[in-house]
Amino acid sequence: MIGSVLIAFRNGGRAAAVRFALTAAGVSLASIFLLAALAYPETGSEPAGERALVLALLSLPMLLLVALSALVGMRMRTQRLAALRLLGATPAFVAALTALETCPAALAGALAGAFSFRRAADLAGAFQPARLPFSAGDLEPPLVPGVLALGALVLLAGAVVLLALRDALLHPLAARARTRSAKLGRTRPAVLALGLIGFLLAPALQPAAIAAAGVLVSLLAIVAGLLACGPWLTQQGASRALLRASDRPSALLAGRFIGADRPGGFRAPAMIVIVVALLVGTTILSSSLGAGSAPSAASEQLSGGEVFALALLGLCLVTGIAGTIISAVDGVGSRRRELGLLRPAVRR
Amino acid sequence: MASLECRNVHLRLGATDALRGASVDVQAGEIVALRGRSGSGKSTLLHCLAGILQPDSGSVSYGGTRIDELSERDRSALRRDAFGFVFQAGMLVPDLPLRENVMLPLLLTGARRRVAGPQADAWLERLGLLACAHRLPAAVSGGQAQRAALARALIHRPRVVFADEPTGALDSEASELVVELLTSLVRDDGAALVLVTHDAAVAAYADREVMLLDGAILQSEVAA
Repeated sequence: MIGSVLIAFRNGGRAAAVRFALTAAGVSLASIFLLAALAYPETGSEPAGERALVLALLSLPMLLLVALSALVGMRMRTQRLAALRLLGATPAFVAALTALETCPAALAGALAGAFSFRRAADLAGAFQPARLPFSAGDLEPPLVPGVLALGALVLLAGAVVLLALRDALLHPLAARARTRSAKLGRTRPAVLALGLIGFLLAPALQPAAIAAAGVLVSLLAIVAGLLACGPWLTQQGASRALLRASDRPSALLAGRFIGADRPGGFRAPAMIVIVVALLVGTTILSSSLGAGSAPSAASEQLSGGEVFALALLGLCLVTGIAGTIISAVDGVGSRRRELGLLRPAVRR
Repeated sequence: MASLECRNVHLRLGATDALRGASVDVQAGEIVALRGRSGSGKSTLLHCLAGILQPDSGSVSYGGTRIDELSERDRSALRRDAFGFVFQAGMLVPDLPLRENVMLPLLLTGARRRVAGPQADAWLERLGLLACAHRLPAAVSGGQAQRAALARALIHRPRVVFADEPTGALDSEASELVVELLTSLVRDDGAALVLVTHDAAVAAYADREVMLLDGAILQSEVAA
Protein backbone atom coordinates (compact mmCIF):
# COMPACT_ATOMS: atom_id res chain seq x y z
CA MET A 1 0.00 0.00 0.00
CA ILE A 2 1.32 3.40 -1.01
CA GLY A 3 0.26 4.85 2.33
CA SER A 4 2.38 2.32 4.15
CA VAL A 5 5.41 3.28 2.14
CA LEU A 6 4.80 6.94 2.87
CA ILE A 7 4.68 6.26 6.59
CA ALA A 8 7.49 3.74 6.58
CA PHE A 9 10.13 5.86 4.91
CA ARG A 10 9.40 9.13 6.66
CA ASN A 11 12.44 10.33 8.53
CA GLY A 12 11.91 9.64 12.19
CA GLY A 13 14.93 11.59 13.47
CA ARG A 14 17.01 10.08 16.27
CA ALA A 15 14.67 7.14 16.77
CA ALA A 16 15.05 6.11 13.14
CA ALA A 17 18.83 6.48 13.32
CA VAL A 18 19.05 4.24 16.40
CA ARG A 19 16.80 1.64 14.85
CA PHE A 20 18.74 1.74 11.60
CA ALA A 21 22.11 1.33 13.35
CA LEU A 22 20.99 -1.58 15.54
CA THR A 23 19.30 -3.42 12.70
CA ALA A 24 22.19 -2.89 10.29
CA ALA A 25 24.71 -4.02 12.92
CA GLY A 26 22.76 -7.19 13.67
CA VAL A 27 22.27 -8.14 10.04
CA SER A 28 25.87 -7.25 9.22
CA LEU A 29 27.18 -9.64 11.88
CA ALA A 30 24.78 -12.35 10.79
CA SER A 31 25.89 -11.89 7.16
CA ILE A 32 29.54 -12.40 8.10
CA PHE A 33 28.76 -15.73 9.77
CA LEU A 34 26.51 -16.85 6.97
CA LEU A 35 29.04 -16.02 4.27
CA ALA A 36 31.76 -17.75 6.30
CA ALA A 37 29.55 -20.85 6.43
CA LEU A 38 28.99 -20.76 2.68
CA ALA A 39 32.65 -20.15 1.90
CA TYR A 40 33.93 -22.78 4.28
CA PRO A 41 36.21 -25.03 2.22
CA GLU A 42 36.77 -28.78 2.41
CA THR A 43 40.09 -29.30 4.15
CA GLY A 44 40.86 -33.01 3.99
CA SER A 45 39.93 -34.59 7.30
CA GLU A 46 38.30 -31.43 8.65
CA PRO A 47 34.57 -31.83 9.32
CA ALA A 48 33.80 -28.79 7.16
CA GLY A 49 30.09 -29.52 6.82
CA GLU A 50 29.45 -29.60 10.55
CA ARG A 51 31.47 -26.48 11.19
CA ALA A 52 29.74 -24.65 8.38
CA LEU A 53 26.39 -25.64 9.92
CA VAL A 54 27.46 -24.33 13.32
CA LEU A 55 28.64 -21.08 11.72
CA ALA A 56 25.31 -20.71 9.96
CA LEU A 57 23.45 -21.31 13.24
CA LEU A 58 25.66 -18.75 14.96
CA SER A 59 24.34 -16.10 12.61
CA LEU A 60 20.93 -16.36 14.28
CA PRO A 61 21.85 -14.83 17.68
CA MET A 62 23.08 -11.76 15.81
CA LEU A 63 19.48 -11.07 14.89
CA LEU A 64 18.86 -10.29 18.56
CA LEU A 65 20.10 -6.82 17.68
CA VAL A 66 17.31 -6.59 15.14
CA ALA A 67 14.73 -7.64 17.75
CA LEU A 68 16.24 -5.13 20.17
CA SER A 69 15.95 -2.39 17.57
CA ALA A 70 12.26 -3.21 17.10
CA LEU A 71 11.57 -2.94 20.84
CA VAL A 72 13.64 0.22 21.20
CA GLY A 73 11.92 1.72 18.17
CA MET A 74 8.49 0.90 19.52
CA ARG A 75 9.23 2.57 22.85
CA MET A 76 10.43 5.69 21.08
CA ARG A 77 7.40 5.89 18.83
CA THR A 78 4.53 5.08 21.14
CA GLN A 79 2.56 8.15 20.05
CA ARG A 80 2.99 7.39 16.37
CA LEU A 81 1.98 3.74 16.67
CA ALA A 82 -0.96 4.51 18.97
CA ALA A 83 -2.17 7.23 16.58
CA LEU A 84 -2.17 4.76 13.71
CA ARG A 85 -4.14 2.27 15.78
CA LEU A 86 -6.60 4.97 16.79
CA LEU A 87 -7.19 5.83 13.14
CA GLY A 88 -8.11 2.25 12.40
CA ALA A 89 -4.85 0.46 11.61
CA THR A 90 -4.95 -3.12 12.88
CA PRO A 91 -2.16 -4.46 15.13
CA ALA A 92 -1.06 -6.68 12.24
CA PHE A 93 -0.82 -3.66 9.93
CA VAL A 94 1.28 -1.71 12.44
CA ALA A 95 3.57 -4.70 12.96
CA ALA A 96 3.90 -5.24 9.21
CA LEU A 97 4.71 -1.57 8.76
CA THR A 98 7.45 -1.79 11.38
CA ALA A 99 8.83 -4.90 9.67
CA LEU A 100 8.81 -3.05 6.36
CA GLU A 101 10.79 -0.23 7.95
CA THR A 102 13.43 -2.81 8.89
CA CYS A 103 14.16 -3.79 5.29
CA PRO A 104 16.36 -0.85 4.19
CA ALA A 105 18.48 -1.12 7.34
CA ALA A 106 18.69 -4.89 6.97
CA LEU A 107 19.73 -4.52 3.34
CA ALA A 108 22.41 -1.99 4.29
CA GLY A 109 23.60 -4.37 7.03
CA ALA A 110 23.76 -7.30 4.61
CA LEU A 111 25.83 -5.29 2.13
CA ALA A 112 28.11 -4.04 4.90
CA GLY A 113 28.51 -7.62 6.13
CA ALA A 114 29.42 -8.86 2.65
CA PHE A 115 31.94 -6.03 2.26
CA SER A 116 33.44 -6.68 5.72
CA PHE A 117 33.74 -10.39 5.01
CA ARG A 118 35.52 -9.71 1.73
CA ARG A 119 37.89 -7.23 3.37
CA ALA A 120 38.66 -9.66 6.19
CA ALA A 121 39.37 -12.44 3.69
CA ASP A 122 41.64 -10.11 1.68
CA LEU A 123 43.43 -9.18 4.90
CA ALA A 124 44.02 -12.84 5.67
CA GLY A 125 45.25 -13.39 2.13
CA ALA A 126 47.75 -10.53 2.43
CA PHE A 127 49.71 -12.46 5.06
CA GLN A 128 51.84 -15.47 4.24
CA PRO A 129 49.48 -18.25 5.32
CA ALA A 130 52.18 -20.67 6.48
CA ARG A 131 49.74 -22.80 8.50
CA LEU A 132 46.66 -22.08 6.44
CA PRO A 133 45.29 -25.29 4.92
CA PHE A 134 43.61 -23.33 2.13
CA SER A 135 44.16 -20.01 0.45
CA ALA A 136 42.19 -16.92 1.24
CA GLY A 137 40.72 -17.22 -2.24
CA ASP A 138 38.91 -20.32 -0.98
CA LEU A 139 36.91 -18.03 1.27
CA GLU A 140 34.88 -16.85 -1.68
CA PRO A 141 31.22 -17.69 -1.11
CA PRO A 142 29.43 -18.88 -4.26
CA LEU A 143 27.66 -15.90 -5.83
CA VAL A 144 24.09 -17.10 -6.26
CA PRO A 145 23.77 -18.92 -2.89
CA GLY A 146 25.49 -15.94 -1.26
CA VAL A 147 23.02 -13.44 -2.71
CA LEU A 148 20.10 -15.72 -1.86
CA ALA A 149 21.37 -16.15 1.71
CA LEU A 150 21.71 -12.40 2.20
CA GLY A 151 18.23 -11.88 0.74
CA ALA A 152 16.85 -14.50 3.11
CA LEU A 153 18.60 -12.76 5.97
CA VAL A 154 16.86 -9.48 5.12
CA LEU A 155 13.50 -11.27 5.12
CA LEU A 156 14.43 -13.04 8.35
CA ALA A 157 15.16 -9.66 9.93
CA GLY A 158 11.61 -8.58 9.07
CA ALA A 159 10.27 -11.80 10.55
CA VAL A 160 12.29 -11.25 13.74
CA VAL A 161 10.71 -7.81 14.09
CA LEU A 162 7.24 -9.32 13.76
CA LEU A 163 8.20 -11.86 16.42
CA ALA A 164 9.59 -9.17 18.75
CA LEU A 165 6.42 -7.09 18.37
CA ARG A 166 4.34 -9.99 19.63
CA ASP A 167 5.66 -8.81 22.98
CA ALA A 168 4.21 -5.35 22.38
CA LEU A 169 0.78 -4.03 23.26
CA LEU A 170 -0.34 -1.96 20.27
CA HIS A 171 -3.47 -0.27 21.60
CA PRO A 172 -5.15 2.88 20.23
CA LEU A 173 -4.47 4.67 23.51
CA ALA A 174 -0.88 3.51 23.97
CA ALA A 175 1.82 1.32 22.50
CA ARG A 176 4.15 -0.32 24.97
CA ALA A 177 5.87 -3.55 25.96
CA ARG A 178 3.63 -5.93 27.86
CA THR A 179 4.16 -5.97 31.59
CA ARG A 180 5.66 -9.23 32.77
CA SER A 181 6.12 -10.71 36.20
CA ALA A 182 9.26 -9.53 37.97
CA LYS A 183 9.68 -12.92 39.66
CA LEU A 184 12.54 -15.12 38.54
CA GLY A 185 10.79 -18.43 39.23
CA ARG A 186 12.50 -21.83 39.14
CA THR A 187 12.31 -22.87 35.49
CA ARG A 188 14.46 -20.12 34.04
CA PRO A 189 17.53 -20.62 36.27
CA ALA A 190 17.08 -24.40 35.95
CA VAL A 191 17.45 -24.15 32.15
CA LEU A 192 20.62 -22.09 32.56
CA ALA A 193 22.05 -24.46 35.17
CA LEU A 194 21.31 -27.53 33.05
CA GLY A 195 22.97 -25.87 30.08
CA LEU A 196 26.11 -25.09 32.08
CA ILE A 197 26.30 -28.59 33.54
CA GLY A 198 25.75 -30.11 30.10
CA PHE A 199 28.46 -27.91 28.60
CA LEU A 200 30.94 -29.14 31.21
CA LEU A 201 30.02 -32.83 30.98
CA ALA A 202 29.14 -33.31 27.30
CA PRO A 203 32.71 -33.27 25.89
CA ALA A 204 33.50 -36.42 27.89
CA LEU A 205 30.74 -38.41 26.20
CA GLN A 206 31.48 -41.11 23.63
CA PRO A 207 31.28 -41.35 20.67
CA ALA A 208 32.41 -37.93 19.47
CA ALA A 209 29.19 -37.26 17.53
CA ILE A 210 27.11 -37.55 20.71
CA ALA A 211 29.57 -35.31 22.54
CA ALA A 212 29.27 -32.70 19.78
CA ALA A 213 25.48 -32.89 19.85
CA GLY A 214 25.53 -32.59 23.65
CA VAL A 215 27.71 -29.48 23.48
CA LEU A 216 25.41 -27.92 20.90
CA VAL A 217 22.26 -28.63 22.94
CA SER A 218 23.97 -27.32 26.06
CA LEU A 219 24.95 -24.14 24.26
CA LEU A 220 21.37 -23.64 23.14
CA ALA A 221 20.18 -24.16 26.74
CA ILE A 222 22.74 -21.61 27.97
CA VAL A 223 21.55 -19.11 25.38
CA ALA A 224 17.89 -19.71 26.33
CA GLY A 225 18.74 -19.52 30.04
CA LEU A 226 20.66 -16.27 29.62
CA LEU A 227 17.79 -14.74 27.71
CA ALA A 228 15.29 -15.89 30.32
CA CYS A 229 17.29 -14.96 33.42
CA GLY A 230 19.17 -12.00 32.02
CA PRO A 231 16.41 -9.39 32.23
CA TRP A 232 15.71 -10.38 35.82
CA LEU A 233 19.38 -10.39 36.79
CA THR A 234 20.15 -7.06 35.17
CA GLN A 235 16.94 -5.24 36.00
CA GLN A 236 15.83 -6.51 39.38
CA GLY A 237 19.32 -7.14 40.72
CA ALA A 238 20.66 -3.73 39.74
CA SER A 239 17.46 -1.99 40.79
CA ARG A 240 17.42 -3.57 44.24
CA ALA A 241 21.14 -3.03 44.77
CA LEU A 242 20.80 0.65 43.95
CA LEU A 243 17.75 1.12 46.15
CA ARG A 244 19.54 -0.51 49.09
CA ALA A 245 22.89 1.14 48.48
CA SER A 246 21.92 4.73 49.08
CA ASP A 247 19.21 7.08 50.33
CA ARG A 248 20.08 9.66 47.68
CA PRO A 249 17.31 10.70 45.29
CA SER A 250 19.55 9.88 42.32
CA ALA A 251 19.89 6.27 43.54
CA LEU A 252 16.14 6.02 44.05
CA LEU A 253 15.42 7.36 40.56
CA ALA A 254 18.09 5.24 38.88
CA GLY A 255 16.89 2.12 40.71
CA ARG A 256 13.28 2.67 39.70
CA PHE A 257 14.22 3.51 36.10
CA ILE A 258 16.31 0.36 35.74
CA GLY A 259 13.57 -1.78 37.25
CA ALA A 260 11.02 -0.40 34.80
CA ASP A 261 13.21 -0.61 31.70
CA ARG A 262 12.38 -3.97 30.16
CA PRO A 263 14.17 -3.41 26.84
CA GLY A 264 17.17 -2.33 28.91
CA GLY A 265 17.04 -5.60 30.78
CA PHE A 266 16.91 -7.47 27.52
CA ARG A 267 19.91 -5.55 26.21
CA ALA A 268 22.54 -7.06 28.51
CA PRO A 269 21.74 -10.76 28.02
CA ALA A 270 21.33 -10.14 24.30
CA MET A 271 24.85 -8.82 24.20
CA ILE A 272 26.11 -11.73 26.31
CA VAL A 273 24.53 -14.16 23.87
CA ILE A 274 26.09 -12.34 20.94
CA VAL A 275 29.53 -12.36 22.52
CA VAL A 276 29.23 -16.07 23.41
CA ALA A 277 28.25 -16.82 19.82
CA LEU A 278 31.13 -14.74 18.50
CA LEU A 279 33.65 -16.47 20.71
CA VAL A 280 32.44 -19.92 19.69
CA GLY A 281 32.46 -18.92 16.02
CA THR A 282 35.90 -17.43 16.03
CA THR A 283 37.27 -20.36 18.03
CA ILE A 284 35.94 -22.76 15.41
CA LEU A 285 37.38 -20.68 12.61
CA SER A 286 40.80 -20.18 14.15
CA SER A 287 41.16 -23.81 15.27
CA SER A 288 40.24 -25.18 11.86
CA LEU A 289 42.33 -22.67 10.00
CA GLY A 290 45.28 -23.60 12.10
CA ALA A 291 44.60 -27.36 12.01
CA GLY A 292 46.92 -29.73 10.22
CA SER A 293 49.73 -27.29 10.33
CA ALA A 294 53.31 -28.35 10.51
CA PRO A 295 55.66 -26.68 12.94
CA SER A 296 57.67 -24.12 11.12
CA ALA A 297 59.49 -20.90 11.67
CA ALA A 298 56.34 -19.12 10.62
CA SER A 299 54.43 -20.62 13.56
CA GLU A 300 56.06 -18.02 15.75
CA GLN A 301 54.11 -15.45 13.78
CA LEU A 302 50.40 -15.01 13.47
CA SER A 303 49.04 -17.23 10.76
CA GLY A 304 46.62 -15.97 8.14
CA GLY A 305 43.81 -17.89 9.82
CA GLU A 306 44.54 -16.37 13.19
CA VAL A 307 44.65 -12.93 11.68
CA PHE A 308 41.35 -13.61 9.95
CA ALA A 309 39.77 -14.85 13.18
CA LEU A 310 41.12 -11.90 15.16
CA ALA A 311 39.93 -9.44 12.53
CA LEU A 312 36.49 -11.03 12.56
CA LEU A 313 36.36 -11.03 16.35
CA GLY A 314 37.48 -7.40 16.50
CA LEU A 315 34.96 -6.30 13.90
CA CYS A 316 32.11 -8.14 15.58
CA LEU A 317 32.96 -6.95 19.06
CA VAL A 318 33.30 -3.36 17.95
CA THR A 319 29.95 -3.54 16.19
CA GLY A 320 28.34 -5.26 19.18
CA ILE A 321 29.74 -2.72 21.61
CA ALA A 322 28.61 0.09 19.32
CA GLY A 323 25.13 -1.40 19.31
CA THR A 324 25.14 -1.55 23.10
CA ILE A 325 26.29 2.05 23.41
CA ILE A 326 23.71 3.22 20.89
CA SER A 327 20.89 1.49 22.72
CA ALA A 328 22.16 2.78 26.08
CA VAL A 329 22.27 6.31 24.70
CA ASP A 330 18.77 5.75 23.43
CA GLY A 331 17.70 4.71 26.94
CA VAL A 332 19.09 7.91 28.41
CA GLY A 333 17.68 9.98 25.56
CA SER A 334 14.20 8.61 25.96
CA ARG A 335 14.25 9.67 29.61
CA ARG A 336 15.63 13.10 28.86
CA ARG A 337 12.27 14.70 29.42
CA GLU A 338 11.62 12.89 32.72
CA LEU A 339 15.09 13.72 33.96
CA GLY A 340 14.71 17.33 32.83
CA LEU A 341 11.52 17.66 34.82
CA LEU A 342 13.19 16.17 37.85
CA ARG A 343 16.34 18.27 37.66
CA PRO A 344 15.02 21.22 39.70
CA ALA A 345 13.88 18.81 42.39
CA VAL A 346 17.24 17.08 42.80
CA ARG A 347 19.44 20.13 42.30
CA ARG A 348 20.88 21.34 45.54
CA MET B 1 -33.04 5.34 15.01
CA ALA B 2 -30.17 5.62 17.43
CA SER B 3 -26.91 5.83 15.53
CA LEU B 4 -24.82 4.86 18.52
CA GLU B 5 -25.93 3.47 21.84
CA CYS B 6 -24.62 1.76 24.91
CA ARG B 7 -26.71 -0.12 27.44
CA ASN B 8 -25.84 -0.82 31.05
CA VAL B 9 -22.09 -0.77 30.41
CA HIS B 10 -19.80 -1.85 33.24
CA LEU B 11 -16.02 -1.61 33.07
CA ARG B 12 -13.45 -2.18 35.77
CA LEU B 13 -9.99 -0.69 35.23
CA GLY B 14 -7.55 -2.09 37.80
CA ALA B 15 -9.17 -1.67 41.19
CA THR B 16 -11.59 1.02 40.03
CA ASP B 17 -15.12 0.65 38.71
CA ALA B 18 -14.67 3.09 35.84
CA LEU B 19 -18.20 2.58 34.50
CA ARG B 20 -21.18 1.35 36.52
CA GLY B 21 -24.18 0.65 34.32
CA ALA B 22 -23.83 3.62 31.96
CA SER B 23 -26.40 3.91 29.15
CA VAL B 24 -26.32 6.57 26.43
CA ASP B 25 -27.95 7.06 23.01
CA VAL B 26 -26.48 9.29 20.32
CA GLN B 27 -28.74 10.01 17.36
CA ALA B 28 -27.41 10.58 13.86
CA GLY B 29 -26.38 14.22 13.48
CA GLU B 30 -26.66 14.90 17.23
CA ILE B 31 -23.98 16.60 19.31
CA VAL B 32 -23.74 15.11 22.79
CA ALA B 33 -21.46 16.47 25.50
CA LEU B 34 -20.26 14.08 28.22
CA ARG B 35 -19.54 16.08 31.34
CA GLY B 36 -18.42 15.32 34.85
CA ARG B 37 -15.61 15.78 37.28
CA SER B 38 -12.16 14.32 36.77
CA GLY B 39 -12.37 10.54 37.18
CA SER B 40 -16.13 10.42 36.62
CA GLY B 41 -15.70 8.05 33.68
CA LYS B 42 -16.54 10.34 30.77
CA SER B 43 -13.39 9.54 28.75
CA THR B 44 -13.79 5.84 29.53
CA LEU B 45 -17.37 5.96 28.26
CA LEU B 46 -16.20 7.67 25.07
CA HIS B 47 -13.55 4.99 24.58
CA CYS B 48 -16.20 2.27 25.00
CA LEU B 49 -18.56 3.98 22.54
CA ALA B 50 -15.70 4.23 20.01
CA GLY B 51 -14.73 0.57 20.36
CA ILE B 52 -11.35 1.43 21.84
CA LEU B 53 -12.11 -0.23 25.17
CA GLN B 54 -14.19 -3.38 25.62
CA PRO B 55 -16.80 -3.26 28.40
CA ASP B 56 -16.88 -6.06 30.96
CA SER B 57 -20.65 -6.28 30.56
CA GLY B 58 -23.44 -4.44 28.81
CA SER B 59 -23.64 -3.66 25.11
CA VAL B 60 -22.38 -1.03 22.69
CA SER B 61 -24.03 -0.81 19.26
CA TYR B 62 -23.56 1.27 16.15
CA GLY B 63 -26.30 1.16 13.51
CA GLY B 64 -27.67 -1.99 15.10
CA THR B 65 -24.32 -3.84 15.10
CA ARG B 66 -22.85 -4.84 18.47
CA ILE B 67 -19.41 -3.19 18.55
CA ASP B 68 -18.43 -5.04 21.71
CA GLU B 69 -18.87 -8.36 19.91
CA LEU B 70 -16.74 -7.44 16.92
CA SER B 71 -13.23 -8.79 16.47
CA GLU B 72 -10.26 -6.46 16.94
CA ARG B 73 -9.85 -6.33 13.18
CA ASP B 74 -13.50 -5.35 12.60
CA ARG B 75 -13.42 -2.73 15.34
CA SER B 76 -10.30 -1.26 13.73
CA ALA B 77 -12.12 -1.20 10.39
CA LEU B 78 -15.10 0.54 12.00
CA ARG B 79 -12.85 3.21 13.53
CA ARG B 80 -11.12 3.65 10.19
CA ASP B 81 -14.26 3.92 8.07
CA ALA B 82 -17.02 5.36 10.23
CA PHE B 83 -15.43 7.21 13.14
CA GLY B 84 -13.22 10.27 13.52
CA PHE B 85 -11.16 11.26 16.54
CA VAL B 86 -9.93 14.51 18.08
CA PHE B 87 -8.12 14.11 21.36
CA GLN B 88 -6.68 16.65 23.77
CA ALA B 89 -3.08 16.08 22.69
CA GLY B 90 -4.14 15.97 19.05
CA MET B 91 -2.60 12.51 18.66
CA LEU B 92 -0.90 13.71 15.50
CA VAL B 93 1.94 11.54 14.25
CA PRO B 94 4.95 13.63 15.30
CA ASP B 95 7.21 12.80 12.36
CA LEU B 96 4.66 13.47 9.63
CA PRO B 97 3.94 17.02 8.40
CA LEU B 98 0.42 18.33 8.90
CA ARG B 99 -0.55 17.54 5.29
CA GLU B 100 0.42 13.89 5.61
CA ASN B 101 -1.20 13.62 9.02
CA VAL B 102 -4.44 14.80 7.44
CA MET B 103 -4.01 12.34 4.57
CA LEU B 104 -3.59 9.37 6.95
CA PRO B 105 -7.23 8.23 7.30
CA LEU B 106 -7.57 8.11 3.51
CA LEU B 107 -4.24 6.31 3.10
CA LEU B 108 -5.29 3.72 5.65
CA THR B 109 -8.37 2.96 3.58
CA GLY B 110 -6.10 2.27 0.61
CA ALA B 111 -6.35 5.63 -1.18
CA ARG B 112 -3.37 6.71 -3.29
CA ARG B 113 -1.30 9.72 -2.30
CA ARG B 114 -2.25 11.58 -5.47
CA VAL B 115 -5.92 11.18 -4.48
CA ALA B 116 -5.51 11.88 -0.76
CA GLY B 117 -3.16 14.85 -1.21
CA PRO B 118 -5.58 17.27 -2.90
CA GLN B 119 -8.31 16.38 -0.42
CA ALA B 120 -5.96 17.12 2.45
CA ASP B 121 -5.00 20.42 0.84
CA ALA B 122 -8.67 21.36 0.53
CA TRP B 123 -9.24 20.68 4.23
CA LEU B 124 -6.09 22.52 5.25
CA GLU B 125 -7.17 25.52 3.18
CA ARG B 126 -10.64 25.42 4.71
CA LEU B 127 -9.10 25.53 8.18
CA GLY B 128 -6.51 28.17 7.31
CA LEU B 129 -3.55 25.82 7.56
CA LEU B 130 -2.31 25.64 3.99
CA ALA B 131 0.68 27.85 4.76
CA CYS B 132 1.98 25.42 7.36
CA ALA B 133 0.96 22.22 5.57
CA HIS B 134 4.53 20.99 5.33
CA ARG B 135 5.51 21.72 8.91
CA LEU B 136 5.78 19.05 11.58
CA PRO B 137 3.27 19.17 14.47
CA ALA B 138 6.00 20.33 16.85
CA ALA B 139 6.65 23.38 14.66
CA VAL B 140 3.10 24.79 14.80
CA SER B 141 1.01 26.26 17.60
CA GLY B 142 -1.34 24.18 19.73
CA GLY B 143 -4.35 25.72 18.01
CA GLN B 144 -2.96 24.96 14.56
CA ALA B 145 -2.15 21.38 15.55
CA GLN B 146 -5.66 20.92 16.91
CA ARG B 147 -7.19 22.32 13.72
CA ALA B 148 -5.08 19.84 11.75
CA ALA B 149 -6.45 17.12 14.05
CA LEU B 150 -9.95 18.33 13.14
CA ALA B 151 -9.15 18.05 9.44
CA ARG B 152 -7.76 14.56 10.00
CA ALA B 153 -10.86 13.54 11.95
CA LEU B 154 -13.23 14.72 9.22
CA ILE B 155 -11.44 14.14 5.91
CA HIS B 156 -12.93 10.68 5.40
CA ARG B 157 -16.47 11.94 6.22
CA PRO B 158 -17.03 9.85 9.38
CA ARG B 159 -20.55 9.31 10.68
CA VAL B 160 -19.53 9.81 14.31
CA VAL B 161 -16.75 12.07 15.61
CA PHE B 162 -15.32 11.48 19.08
CA ALA B 163 -13.65 14.45 20.74
CA ASP B 164 -11.96 13.98 24.13
CA GLU B 165 -11.25 17.37 25.71
CA PRO B 166 -10.38 18.83 22.29
CA THR B 167 -9.75 22.26 23.78
CA GLY B 168 -8.06 21.11 26.98
CA ALA B 169 -4.59 22.27 25.96
CA LEU B 170 -5.64 25.54 24.30
CA ASP B 171 -6.10 29.10 25.47
CA SER B 172 -9.63 30.54 25.52
CA GLU B 173 -9.38 32.21 22.11
CA ALA B 174 -8.02 29.15 20.32
CA SER B 175 -10.42 26.99 22.29
CA GLU B 176 -13.45 28.91 21.04
CA LEU B 177 -12.20 28.81 17.46
CA VAL B 178 -11.58 25.05 17.57
CA VAL B 179 -14.92 24.15 19.14
CA GLU B 180 -16.82 26.41 16.73
CA LEU B 181 -15.06 24.81 13.80
CA LEU B 182 -15.61 21.31 15.14
CA THR B 183 -19.34 21.70 15.76
CA SER B 184 -20.04 23.58 12.52
CA LEU B 185 -18.07 21.10 10.39
CA VAL B 186 -19.80 18.16 12.04
CA ARG B 187 -23.22 19.74 11.52
CA ASP B 188 -22.41 20.54 7.88
CA ASP B 189 -21.54 16.89 7.32
CA GLY B 190 -24.57 15.55 9.21
CA ALA B 191 -22.31 13.51 11.48
CA ALA B 192 -22.85 12.88 15.19
CA LEU B 193 -20.39 14.26 17.72
CA VAL B 194 -19.59 12.83 21.14
CA LEU B 195 -17.70 15.48 23.04
CA VAL B 196 -16.00 14.97 26.39
CA THR B 197 -15.43 18.21 28.25
CA HIS B 198 -15.37 19.67 31.71
CA ASP B 199 -15.84 23.17 30.28
CA ALA B 200 -19.43 24.48 30.42
CA ALA B 201 -18.70 26.96 27.61
CA VAL B 202 -17.69 24.11 25.31
CA ALA B 203 -20.62 21.95 26.38
CA ALA B 204 -22.96 24.82 25.43
CA TYR B 205 -22.35 23.97 21.77
CA ALA B 206 -23.94 20.53 22.26
CA ASP B 207 -27.55 19.54 21.64
CA ARG B 208 -27.58 17.48 24.81
CA GLU B 209 -25.47 17.16 27.95
CA VAL B 210 -24.90 13.88 29.76
CA MET B 211 -23.56 14.23 33.30
CA LEU B 212 -21.52 11.42 34.81
CA LEU B 213 -20.61 10.78 38.43
CA ASP B 214 -18.44 7.89 39.61
CA GLY B 215 -18.96 5.92 36.40
CA ALA B 216 -22.75 6.25 36.29
CA ILE B 217 -25.03 8.56 34.33
CA LEU B 218 -26.31 11.23 36.70
CA GLN B 219 -28.60 13.01 34.27
CA SER B 220 -29.13 13.63 30.57
CA GLU B 221 -30.73 16.87 29.45
CA VAL B 222 -31.18 18.95 26.36
CA ALA B 223 -28.75 21.87 26.39
CA ALA B 224 -30.19 25.33 26.85
